Amino acid sequence: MSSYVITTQNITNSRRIRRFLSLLFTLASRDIRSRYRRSVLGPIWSILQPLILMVVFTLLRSLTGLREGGVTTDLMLTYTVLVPWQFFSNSINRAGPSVIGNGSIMRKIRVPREMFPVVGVMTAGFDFAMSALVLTGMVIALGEPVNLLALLWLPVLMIMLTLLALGVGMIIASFGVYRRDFILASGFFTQIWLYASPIIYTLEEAQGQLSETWQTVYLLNPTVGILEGFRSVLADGTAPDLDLLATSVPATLIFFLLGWGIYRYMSQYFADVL
Amino acid sequence: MSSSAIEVNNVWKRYGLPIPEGLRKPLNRLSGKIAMPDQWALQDVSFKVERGDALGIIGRNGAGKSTMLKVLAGVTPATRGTVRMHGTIFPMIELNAGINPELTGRENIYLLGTIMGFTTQEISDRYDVIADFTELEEWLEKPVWQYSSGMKARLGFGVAMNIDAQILLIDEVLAVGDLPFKKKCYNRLEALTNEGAAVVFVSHNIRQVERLCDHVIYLKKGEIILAGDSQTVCQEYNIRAVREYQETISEELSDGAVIRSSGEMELVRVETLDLTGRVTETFNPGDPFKIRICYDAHERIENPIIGANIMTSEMIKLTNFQIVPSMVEQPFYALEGEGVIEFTIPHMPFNPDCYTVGVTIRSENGRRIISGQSLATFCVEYDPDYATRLGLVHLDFSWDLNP
Repeated sequence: MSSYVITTQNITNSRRIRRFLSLLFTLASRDIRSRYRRSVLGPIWSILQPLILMVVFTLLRSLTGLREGGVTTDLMLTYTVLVPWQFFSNSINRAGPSVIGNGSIMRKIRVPREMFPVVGVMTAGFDFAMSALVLTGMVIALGEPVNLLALLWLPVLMIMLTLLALGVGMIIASFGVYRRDFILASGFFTQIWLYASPIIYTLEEAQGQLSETWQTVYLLNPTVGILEGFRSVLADGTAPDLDLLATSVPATLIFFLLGWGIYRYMSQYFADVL
Repeated sequence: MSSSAIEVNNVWKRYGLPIPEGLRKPLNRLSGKIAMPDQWALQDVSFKVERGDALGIIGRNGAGKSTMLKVLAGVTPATRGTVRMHGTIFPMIELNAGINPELTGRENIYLLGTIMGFTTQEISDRYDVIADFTELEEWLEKPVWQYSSGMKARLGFGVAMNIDAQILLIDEVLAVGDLPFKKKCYNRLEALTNEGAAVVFVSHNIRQVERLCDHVIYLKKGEIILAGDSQTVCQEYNIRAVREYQETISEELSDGAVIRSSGEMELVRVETLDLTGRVTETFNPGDPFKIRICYDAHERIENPIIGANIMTSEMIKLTNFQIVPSMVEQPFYALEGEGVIEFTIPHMPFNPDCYTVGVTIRSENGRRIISGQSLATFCVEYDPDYATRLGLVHLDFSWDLNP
């Protein structure tokens, strides 16, 4: 058995928390600033990506004969879920390699190790905030009348999405340190997850195509309930279908707790292999 | 306060995820080459460092020095044993860890500071001191990718040296930077120890350890084989290491021979001899010795400049000898065909270590005809009678003691 104890005077818990938050925000701002520093469009890139995908997916919908109402309806249907989806997949794809990317720090300096995947999610959150501005404008201009009470569900949906992304990202990060395949596969993996989630199509449209057994399997995917929730609130102006949202809760919690636990245990030994 | 700054008790360390013995083999087979070494990087290491004390850790590559530092820094857990650290730790292990090239010097100071455990406010408070220390001035507003490596080092040191830590862990970092800046860092380190900081210093550079540390532990294959005051341990290390190292390094050094030639002549052999004319590669301090250069000149080379130099194994040029035309009595001399040039040095001035000999021959007007490094190696043996000799060279001296 081994133990490692540091005793320090004059360091109160509140100071410790302030140090932790300083590091968190400095690292996030490092990643955001350095990403856009030598680009012309800068943070506009984070808005462009979901906007372009929105156009592509709307075109896809009309090509495959999935048409609900007019073009604006289709634009709204895809964009309202694309923005949270981009946050989700960006979070995973940034949290995954975050440990390796910060290897030089972890190898040398004792820092709270959970920091790095969390920073990955935070930078994805920055892109999300930029897109959210556009989304707000679109909902006001093109969407159904906004239901203020339904809007209260948004924080709940965001928390669930964040926990899920963090959990998955931490699992990829933990194993990726030992085997790079996990990180190399993560982009591909989120791509497949995109098709397995109601983004190009709606849940209703999917259910029309699936047998009863497959519908149950489909609902195991925790992003289904969360993304449909976003769609209800933002595109339809109604509260999320609570039964549907409830199906996402167990998987979300499992992913989060599993990811956090694996990461906490394995991260002790990251410095040995980085 | 009575407790030591650092207490290490029976620490064992094996790298990698701790996997139960029974699972180790099947997992190794399953995953092929996955790194699960069975070797102990540290074995039963115990020591204490008091406040205001500097401890040196010495040993050859792979002896466990850096592992010990990582365990002390808390970046990797010991497999067994306990580590107690009393005070804020400042790990000066690779100071540039975390520097981002896209950001400016100023932004990087904040970044490094927060990584080292400070709040944004605390860094703002001492920003001016840090900026001053780095001497980077207007460069601080430029992105770090434009910096030279020396400037990057200054950035790291600037932050590192101005943090009030009670425990400093230092790993060879003082090898970078120019001389005045290094001196500034040494002074700052000394001031910190005087204020009561405990220092752990890891280095290959035994002279640096001897200068900076009060106590030293000598690690070999993860075990402490000797611990005590710095002079005793460093001397013992010198005896063992010089001997051990002479065998390996003299081979390595002579393998490293590089010759550049215009083709007019060849160096057949370069060797070191004692005064009886016997070719040898080991000398005692103070012995007279000769360097002999055997050459074969394909063309007649008139009035050349003939030089030989001696370097340490760390490639520091200690001295050179030169024969220039004005030194030669007859107005005219030349190298032609096979011949020998000898330099005689009446007293070996170098302290125990291994050295290499290089040769350069130039034409009268300075054009290089042939030059080579590491053409011969010789070692100076450790001699207990000369145990008080420190540094690189020993000068003869006389003395006066006025009561």
